[in-house]
Amino acid sequence: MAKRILVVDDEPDIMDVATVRLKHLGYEIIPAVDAEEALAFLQKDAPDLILLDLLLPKMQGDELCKMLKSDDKYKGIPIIIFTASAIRPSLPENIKAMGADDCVLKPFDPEELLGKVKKFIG
Amino acid sequence: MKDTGDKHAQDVEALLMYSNSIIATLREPFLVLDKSLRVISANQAFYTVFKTAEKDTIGQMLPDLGDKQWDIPGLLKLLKEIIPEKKVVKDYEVEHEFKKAAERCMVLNACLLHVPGNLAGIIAKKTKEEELILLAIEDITERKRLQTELKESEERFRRAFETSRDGLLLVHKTEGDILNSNDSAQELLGYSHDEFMKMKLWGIGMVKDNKDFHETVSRLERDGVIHYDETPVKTKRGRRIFSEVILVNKAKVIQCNIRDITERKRMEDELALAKEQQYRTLIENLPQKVFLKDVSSVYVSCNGNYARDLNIKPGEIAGKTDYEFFPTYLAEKYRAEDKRVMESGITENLEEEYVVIDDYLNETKRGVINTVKVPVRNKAGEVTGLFGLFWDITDKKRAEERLRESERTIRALFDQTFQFIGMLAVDGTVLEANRTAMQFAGINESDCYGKPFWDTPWWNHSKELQDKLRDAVTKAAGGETVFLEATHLAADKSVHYIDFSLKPVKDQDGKVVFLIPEGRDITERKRAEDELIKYRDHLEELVRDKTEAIKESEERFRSLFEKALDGIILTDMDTRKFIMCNGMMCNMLQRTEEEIQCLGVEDIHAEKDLPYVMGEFGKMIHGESSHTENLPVKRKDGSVFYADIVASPISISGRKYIMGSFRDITERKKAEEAVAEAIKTKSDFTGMVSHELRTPLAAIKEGVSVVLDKITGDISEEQAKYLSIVKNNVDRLDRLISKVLDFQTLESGKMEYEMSDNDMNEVIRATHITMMPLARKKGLAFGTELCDDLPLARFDRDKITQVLANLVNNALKFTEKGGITISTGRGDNAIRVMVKDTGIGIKEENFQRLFQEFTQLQRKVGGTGLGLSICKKIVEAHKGKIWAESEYGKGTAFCFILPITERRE
Repeated sequence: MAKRILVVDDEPDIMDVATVRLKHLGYEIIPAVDAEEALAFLQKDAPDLILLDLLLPKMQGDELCKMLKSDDKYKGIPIIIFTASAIRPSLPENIKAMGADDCVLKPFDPEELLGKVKKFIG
Repeated sequence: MKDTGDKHAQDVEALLMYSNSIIATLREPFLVLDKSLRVISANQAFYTVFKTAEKDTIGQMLPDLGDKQWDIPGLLKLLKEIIPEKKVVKDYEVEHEFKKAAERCMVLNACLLHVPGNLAGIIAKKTKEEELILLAIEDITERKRLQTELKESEERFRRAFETSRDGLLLVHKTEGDILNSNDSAQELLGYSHDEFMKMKLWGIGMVKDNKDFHETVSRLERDGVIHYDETPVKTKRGRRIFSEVILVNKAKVIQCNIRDITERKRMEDELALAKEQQYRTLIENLPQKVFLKDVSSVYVSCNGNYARDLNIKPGEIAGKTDYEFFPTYLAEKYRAEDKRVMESGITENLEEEYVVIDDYLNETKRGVINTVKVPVRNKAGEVTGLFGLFWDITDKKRAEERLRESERTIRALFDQTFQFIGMLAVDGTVLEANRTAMQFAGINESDCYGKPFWDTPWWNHSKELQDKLRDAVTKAAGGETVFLEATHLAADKSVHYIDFSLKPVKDQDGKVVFLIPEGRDITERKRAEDELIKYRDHLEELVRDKTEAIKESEERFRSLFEKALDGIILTDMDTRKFIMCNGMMCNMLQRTEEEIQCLGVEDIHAEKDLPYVMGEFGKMIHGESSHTENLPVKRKDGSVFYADIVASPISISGRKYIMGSFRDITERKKAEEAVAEAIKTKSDFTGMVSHELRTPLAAIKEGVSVVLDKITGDISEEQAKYLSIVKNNVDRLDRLISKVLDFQTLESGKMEYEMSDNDMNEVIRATHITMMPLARKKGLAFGTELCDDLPLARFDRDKITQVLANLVNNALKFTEKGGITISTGRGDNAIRVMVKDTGIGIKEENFQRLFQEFTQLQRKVGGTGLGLSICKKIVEAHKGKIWAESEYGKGTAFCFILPITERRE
């Protein structure tokens, strides 16, 4: 069965280009435009990995990340932060503070993204 | 017959002589009487005992003897009536009081002797009577008395023995048999007399056995009496009664007195109980808190006063411990003390904290107490508990604290007064000096305490002053107050004039007990006086000066004053009211000079700034001037302008003023704020723009990549070529944006550095390898010249790599032939890195702009104009420096230095 990745990003273009390679490699992509949609999916099903943008409408990505990582039900799911934010979340402390497992900066190197996804779910 | 008769008569004569001599030697008085009771003969004993003589006796009638003292009825009855009938009477007892021989008791033996006629004449001389009475008188007076006395003594003893309230037993000294007992003994021990007679002493428990008895007897032989105060004695029924027993050594027996003390004991116990109740009443009414604890520090009892403190009834304390009433740390402390007192047996007097808590750990009482803990002992002397008594001394402690506080206050006053003050012994020894005095000379207690005042650093700079002071001490010790003006050296060696006095302090009897030296620094006053004198000297000269000149000068000044661009205002130093001001000041405050003259300092500054302004005034009172930047000042309409103010104290005609000069910096401030705002806006803008640019860029870049990587299907070579161009330019755009973003982060100070000790040569080698392809591509030489013993430096490896890459990139951009060299070198505290090229060089006039952001000296090579600015910011963040050296047309060298890592042990 295909591994499933929940991608949370409010930019439809990014969603398209970022997921095309992943789909090509055989991953199943579950798109969500905001935290609400992501949570709605998480309520009924569990993905293998979450790719999470930080600048989201309504609830921000870091908030969602903290929430999931403090919940016993979800904290086992690896989260990769996927952002163009100027706050430099690449810094390990920032990632650690929100409980995320890794980070890919936009604009992204496709090899980097695929490498990190593979690292967590093969 | 006659011969025979003679011979017979001779025999009788001899016989008579024989019997007479027998009679004469008898110890008892002896009489021979005829029938008519006439004395025929008497023996010597008769005369001795009855104190009479032969001539008063022989031939006399017995009743007439010795003034009729022998007229004894009992005797006459015997001789006249009993003898004639019975012939012999034995042991007839007669008592009689003789006039000469006192009370006599006699035993008489008498017999009637029949004498034949032929013998009568011989025996009784010429008498013819035939019967004679022989009377022997035995005096038994003495014997009789002894007998009576003995009888009485025995009777007394017997009565005492029988009627004694003590139980008495007589015991055989060697066998231990009980020989006699009295009623009390029988009653006390329950044995009958006969039962006692069959018992040994140890049968009733006074001694253990035969052996013990013999030991007791030998002790008794030695001491005469043995007294047992409280010894149990066994009754017939087996009951033990407490007795006091006295054994008395008699000749052949031991007298054993047994006294029942059960009653006495009961009385004593009752007495003790009564005493205890008295104590209880006393303790209950004591104002102190009293308690009793057992050996394990568990409460046994306490008085009502203590129980009230603990909020329980007095009876409830039994079985409780300190843990139930006090915080744990206190309970543990109390119990440790209990243990110590009970183990050592020594009473302790302790001062300690006292905090009572209730079940909910709320404090109900707090204070300081004085506790006395006394070990309680039983009769055997063992400690069986602890008696405690304590009372509240919180108030006392508080009073002590207040006293100390007031001492401290006085000490502080003493120390902090501006005057110099101290205290000397009468001989001039320094006892005290205040802080002001010590700080003035830069000394401490050990430099002056206990030393003669004149040998201290205040005085030992001048022999003359020391002599003056010694003289002053002598005078003051004599009761005189001495004043003198002295010069002293301050800690900074400047000379100060001191108005000095030395006052004696006397006790009630007027005796000087110590001296108070006081000093007032009058240096300033002195200087003013000196100046006054100088001024007076020149006064005439001044007066002579032309009025015109003064006027001119004044006008010049006034014009300057009026036309000054700064607001100038004169303020009274004491009242802080404005005296005069110039036109600019009126403009600034938007008031007329008259209005301003009604105002004071407090009216033109904001409430919150007043403490600062007053502080500055305080400084100026002491002669300092004041510089203040950017202080808000109120206009008439309440609006505010910002001013830089310079103010200083001046003295005009002896009055002190503050001259203040105000420069309105509102415009400048506005400009500065606008600049700060612009910087912030720019910063926010670049941040926002960078981010907003990156998101679509990411979509473009990945979109192109996906097609190029043929994920969406095959593409022609030409299509691939143009898509590659798109991708390369997108990458370039991405790099530019990253740089802008980096710069923005650097500028906002948000950049974080990961500092570690690094080898710069190694970082350069890595950069060299990375950049080598670019140099080759352009056909340029690219080399390194690295210093061999370069020390480690502390820097962020990634950031410095970025600096190196920027510098090498720049060099590559501006160099067309020749090459680039990176070299390192070391200084005393820094390492130096140089990136040298053989490029076009930089004109000197451009050096200044080189590191400014968005500066591009040559448009055609492209770039953000941020590269060198970023380098500068990174190097400066490492406390380093970066600069350029160049000869236009020949090449450029960019150098930077970083501090080396400090050597650690």
